[in-house]
Amino acid sequence: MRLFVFAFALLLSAPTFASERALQAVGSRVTFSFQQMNVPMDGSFKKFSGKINFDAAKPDTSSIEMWVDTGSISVYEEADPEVVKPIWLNVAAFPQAHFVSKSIKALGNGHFQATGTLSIKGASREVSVPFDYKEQAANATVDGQFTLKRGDYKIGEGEWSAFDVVANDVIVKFHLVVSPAAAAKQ
Amino acid sequence: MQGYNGIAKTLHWLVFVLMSGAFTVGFYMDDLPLSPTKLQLLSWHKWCGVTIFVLVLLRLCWRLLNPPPPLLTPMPPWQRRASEAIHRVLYVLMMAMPLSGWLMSSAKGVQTVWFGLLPLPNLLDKNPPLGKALSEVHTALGYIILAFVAVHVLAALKHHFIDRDDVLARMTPGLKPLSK
Repeated sequence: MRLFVFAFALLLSAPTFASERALQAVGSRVTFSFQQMNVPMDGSFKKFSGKINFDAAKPDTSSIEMWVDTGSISVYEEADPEVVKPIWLNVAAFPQAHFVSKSIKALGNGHFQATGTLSIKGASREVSVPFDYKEQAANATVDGQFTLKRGDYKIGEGEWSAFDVVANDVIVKFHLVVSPAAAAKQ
Repeated sequence: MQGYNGIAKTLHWLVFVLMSGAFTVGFYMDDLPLSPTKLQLLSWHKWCGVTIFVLVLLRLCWRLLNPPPPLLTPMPPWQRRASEAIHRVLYVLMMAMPLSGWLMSSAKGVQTVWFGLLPLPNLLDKNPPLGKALSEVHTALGYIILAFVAVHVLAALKHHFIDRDDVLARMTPGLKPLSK
C-alpha cells in the first residue's frame, strides 16, 4: 500500500518537473570575447557539458547546470599555451568552470533569465544570464551571453592583473543545442 | 644646389624615424615571452607600421604632384640607374612591409586598431598556419629592407664625404655640400 501511494505520488509529481534535455555536442558552442589594447579578441571552449532541465512553460521548476573544461580553451596561437598556466586559468588545479542556476524566470517572448552561481578557478560569484529559448524542428536552442569580470576570478594575476592591456570585461556567449521538449503525452 | 622641398624632406625624415622605431621594437619584442609589455610593444609597432604606410602613400602622392628637382650632380649613368632602381625598390618595400604585417595580423586573428581608435578591416580570415608563414615573410622583408637601406645610406654618405657633392644635402635640412 505504502509503495502504491509512493508510486502514485511519483506519477502525479513527475509532470510538474521540467524534463532533462540532452545537450548536443554538434552545433553547440561556448565562446568569449574581450578587448586587448582596444582590439576585439575572440576565443572558445571546445569541451563542455550540461544538465539542462528546462520547460519553457515551467521556468520555476527548470534548472541549468553547465561544466566547461578550462583546458579546452582556444584564443590565439601565442596565447593558448599561456592561458592554461596558474596565473590565468590554472587548468591543472581547476580543470572545470561551473555554473548552476538558482532560479530561472520567464521574461516573455522566449526570453528568460537564469540567476545562479558561476565558479571559476576556485572563486564563486552570483551571475545573471539572460538567454533565448527556441523550439526548432528537431531540437531546441538556448542562446545567450553575459559579461564577467576576469578580476573577480583572478584570471590573469601578477603583471596581468591591471586591465590596461587586457580588459577586465569578458563577454561569454553560448549557443546550446538541446533535445526537443518531451511530447505532452509522456 | 636645388634641394627637395620642405614637405618632401619632412616626410622622408619622419619615415626614417618611424622606421627606426618600428625596426627596433620589432626585433626586440620578437623573442620576448608573452607579457603586457610585449602586447603593448606589439600594438605600438602595428600603429607605427600603419602610420608609415600612410606616410609613404602621402610621399608618393606628393612626389607625383611635385617631382624632385633634377639631379645636376655629375654621375656615371649606371649610378643614376642604380639610384633610380633602389629608390623604386625602397618605395615598394616600405609599402609591402606594413602590408605583410597587416596580413599577418589578420591571419593570426588579431585585428589592427590604429592607435586603439580606428579598427582596420581584417584582410584575411583567421588561419594560424598562414599567419605563421606571413610572419616569416614579414621578418624576411625586414632583412631585405635593412639591406636596401644600408645601400641607400652608404651611397648618400659616399656622395657627401667622398664625392663631396650635393646628393645628401638635397634631402637633409641645414646640410650644405662639402666643397672639394
